[in-house]
Amino acid sequence: MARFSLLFFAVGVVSQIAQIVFLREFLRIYYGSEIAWALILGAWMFWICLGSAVASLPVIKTEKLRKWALPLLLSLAALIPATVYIIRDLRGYFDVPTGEYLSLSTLLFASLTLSAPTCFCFGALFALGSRASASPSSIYLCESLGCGVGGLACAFLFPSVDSFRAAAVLCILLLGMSFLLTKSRMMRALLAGAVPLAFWAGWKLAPLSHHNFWSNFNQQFHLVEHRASKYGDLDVVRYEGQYSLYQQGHILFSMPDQGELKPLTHLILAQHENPRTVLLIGGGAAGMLKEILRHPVARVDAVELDPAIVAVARNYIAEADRAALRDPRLLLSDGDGRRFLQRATAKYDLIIIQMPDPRTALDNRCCTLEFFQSAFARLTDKGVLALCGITSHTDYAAPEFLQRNASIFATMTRVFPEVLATPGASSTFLAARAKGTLSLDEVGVLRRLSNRMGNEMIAIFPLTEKFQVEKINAELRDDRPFNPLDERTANASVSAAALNRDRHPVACHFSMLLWMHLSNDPFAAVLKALTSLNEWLWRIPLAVCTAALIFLRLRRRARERLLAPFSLMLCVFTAGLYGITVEILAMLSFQSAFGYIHPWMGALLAIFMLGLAAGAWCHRKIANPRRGLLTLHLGLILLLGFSCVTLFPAKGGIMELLATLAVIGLDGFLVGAIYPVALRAWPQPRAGLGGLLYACDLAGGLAGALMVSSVLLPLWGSAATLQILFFLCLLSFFGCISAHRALKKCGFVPPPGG
Amino acid sequence: MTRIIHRREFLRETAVLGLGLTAFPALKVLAEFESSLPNTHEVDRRWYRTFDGTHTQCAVCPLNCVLESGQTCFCRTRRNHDGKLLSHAYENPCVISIDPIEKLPLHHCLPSQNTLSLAVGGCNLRCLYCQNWRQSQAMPQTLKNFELRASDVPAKASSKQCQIIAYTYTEPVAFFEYMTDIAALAARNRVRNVCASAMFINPDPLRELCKQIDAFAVALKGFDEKFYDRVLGSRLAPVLKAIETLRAEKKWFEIVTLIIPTYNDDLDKIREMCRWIARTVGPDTPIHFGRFVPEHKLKDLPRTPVPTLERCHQIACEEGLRYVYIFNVAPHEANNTYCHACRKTVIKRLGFKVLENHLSEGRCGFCRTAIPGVWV
Repeated sequence: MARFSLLFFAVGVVSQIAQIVFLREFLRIYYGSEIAWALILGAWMFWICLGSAVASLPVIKTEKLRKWALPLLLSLAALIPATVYIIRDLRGYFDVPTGEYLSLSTLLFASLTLSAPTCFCFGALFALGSRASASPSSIYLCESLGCGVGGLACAFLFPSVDSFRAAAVLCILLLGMSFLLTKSRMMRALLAGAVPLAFWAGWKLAPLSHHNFWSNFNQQFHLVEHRASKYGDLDVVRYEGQYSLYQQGHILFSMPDQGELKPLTHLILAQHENPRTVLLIGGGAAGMLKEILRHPVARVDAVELDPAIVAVARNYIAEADRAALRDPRLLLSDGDGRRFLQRATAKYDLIIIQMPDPRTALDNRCCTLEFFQSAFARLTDKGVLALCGITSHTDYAAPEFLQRNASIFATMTRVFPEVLATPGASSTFLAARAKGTLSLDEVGVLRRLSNRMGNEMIAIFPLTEKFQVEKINAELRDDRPFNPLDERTANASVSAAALNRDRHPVACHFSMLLWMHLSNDPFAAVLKALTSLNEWLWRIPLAVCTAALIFLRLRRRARERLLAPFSLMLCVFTAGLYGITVEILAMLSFQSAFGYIHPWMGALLAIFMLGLAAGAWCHRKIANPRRGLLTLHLGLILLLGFSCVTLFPAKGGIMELLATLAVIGLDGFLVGAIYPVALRAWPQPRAGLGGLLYACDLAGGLAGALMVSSVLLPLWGSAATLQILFFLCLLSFFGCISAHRALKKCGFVPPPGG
Repeated sequence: MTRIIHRREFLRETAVLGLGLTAFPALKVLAEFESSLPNTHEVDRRWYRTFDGTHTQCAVCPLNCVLESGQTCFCRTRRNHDGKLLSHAYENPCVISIDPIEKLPLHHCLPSQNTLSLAVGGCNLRCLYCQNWRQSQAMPQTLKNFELRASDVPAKASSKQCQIIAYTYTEPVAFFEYMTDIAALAARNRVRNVCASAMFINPDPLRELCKQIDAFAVALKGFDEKFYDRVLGSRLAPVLKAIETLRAEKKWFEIVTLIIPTYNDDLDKIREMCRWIARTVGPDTPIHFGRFVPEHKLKDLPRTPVPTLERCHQIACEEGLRYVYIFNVAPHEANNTYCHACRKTVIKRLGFKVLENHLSEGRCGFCRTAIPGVWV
């Protein structure tokens, strides 16, 4: 039994690390967003679910674990490193042109295909383990614990180890587990011999697989430096004397010529009559600092999330940029820019945000109402906020661009009395604390600059072109295309664009829509249609359906017994969906209040998994599982209420932190408890039941991950997401009542033991 | 205990819930699809032929699309409707803008003048780096368009102090019918017409176009059939033929080449291209080398290194081209126009903004040498 528990604990560790490694590698070849994360994790859960369901079929007749476990473990040992190697070569297989991203459909296809063998083995292993074990709950418990420990290991032990090497370590772990499981001496000798081989291959093939990635990207690019960072691998490639810095396979900026930011930087600095204190969030190494320091500023605080970016770039930037990094007026800090701003006590004349487009919840954190409010509080009376690098349109105001940008613009307008946008393919939104501060008049800007810097030629004309300035600001304000020939357009209306908030990151949704259009994704039409839906159009039918189902159930008490097994499956499905949804919400909430989640991800996952294990442990021997299910559902509903109150706090204090952690832990506890309780409440226990319910749990998780990350949260916000969960919990609760009554009438007594 | 699973009931209730969740989005998708009915205009009979009763063959561009009834051309703008070729790109521009003419770029044509720029959705190329992908890679009827009658355009341009109409931002060949109708009316009203095009067009429609257009910015995107095939989904030979046709028609045109790292920056090819231009269309043809900025599907490619553009500039000069420019880099000396005789700066620019103009009556203000172009 102990060996069993140890084995599944180790399987949990391996599966969690393998999941993170696969995710990391897939995101190198795809433009990462929450939907990409959800698809990759969805593909992962789908195959585990299928593996578990297939291995639970009665036609598979085995109760001996060893017979199946050994080949499965050995397969996994080979599959995990092979999959990592293949993912890195994927661009070559799909013949993707240099610099082009994979489409969402290609990513879905690739992640479904490549994760299939590995995940199927994990799922089958769990189901077969549950069949062979006297207590499937303890298998679930050990696997959950293992996942928690795996998450912690990823976060703290090797956050920046090369994925291929991490895969080699997993391979060695799996070989070790096989060694313990087998009794054959010959096999043991072979396994012992394979361990150093795996070690050697892992260390020797890692650079090779890395070079393969870049040679598939472009054979003319010469990889000159690779540095692992916990925020994503950094690579410097050289081409024609120009160095380009890539993070996780996506370009950040090129060096040493970084002139493209020069006009923009000076235009921003010219918005303040005498800028003395400047806060720069992101982009410190990308060329802005040098230009800022040419103005008579007294202090510049620059915050960079990943210190490795500055450390790597320092070797390739121009000498003038290097000198700027040594300037005594500069205070360079590592960490999360939003957190820095929240905790800052000083006031700034200028706050400049140089972040990527808000395509993920991380990037969106500097474009939300809550962020703008905290920036407003940290600006001096004539202070200016500049949000740079928003991908925009120069000519055709496509709805996907316009909706996203109009939403950010409207959100800024809600906080600041004056907001102006610069034209161009990459727009900058300027916001002032006092009216009459901002100006995009070319003559005025140049006059102010010449007073500070002499008559240097700075090409600010594209940013101040009169017609284009009028056009983009009218479009963003009115949320519709601007027609210069139509006099009526001049009468501006008030924009109805949705506000972008932490708890309702609508800009992420529009970014996703934009990206789907870019990659000609067929799902774009569906998502676009959803965008224009009024949220009450789904709330009302959902509420009516739920009410109708409850009414039907109350009327047909006599037939309730018919639904017991399905109700239990629904109950486990709902728990899976609930678990992942609340976990995602809690993590986003944590991120908005306490800084970028990346370093804490492992710890938060571990809290959830430990809660899961504790829930499973406490309920493994429950005497009255039917009543237990009802109580747990009440707990789920209460937790929803608690989450409504505690998540997305206005400030990040210790009480808020404890409340968020409590939501994550309790979520894990309740969800973890439902699996063993449902297992014990099942009317006719049979072989494979553990695997079947596990499949239901994962199917719920899969549905939750996809729905929440792609539609519910970005489109309708956290409140609507929690409402849907509430309806589902109600539905599942009434299902449990059916099961409870039916089983009571049948005189069902749960089996003893855990 | 009897096995009492009532699947039908469970499935029915699940279906009710599922329908409730999905019915509204589905209805919305259907409604959107229905609402995208195109407004159409018949293509001139000279530019297509009908055969077998209902089949048509478009003759505007070298693709010569053969269409069955209901099918749409590769450019997404012309559709065969029972043997009649209809254009969906007529009087529904998605872009109406006012820009300096230098933005096209045209440096030898009415400097500092503003143009009324028009574009309609659709394109007969599939450039991976298209800056205007959102409208060029879409059917016109699926975009948010303005209503603008061809007959109203010249007067409206004049009312905005634009004496030039520019057909740009997408590929004008895709909205050939709208462009030619406007251009004919504009010419009658003494409003000039300029066109920025990749020139993937058949000679006959091009000759027709030349009757009305005053200047062209021709995007010769590379000098390699493989590049045209892989990156643009097109062919080079018809473009070269179109350039020769422009030369034969004595039309003013400037050549624009965006240099994309690792794709079309082979210096031998650049030299070959410059040599061809110098010999075939003459050394007075201006050429603009543009800096690539990551766009559309090539977002992960770096910008073109400035030294690469400077080497291209040098090669063009070595091959005898007199007016060689660099755009998308400012300030740069190659933004300016220099007199080929006295080497003085005739037009000083910062990017596409004209700072000084020393031209008088089309001649260098210092040595009176004629500078080729459309100046008045």
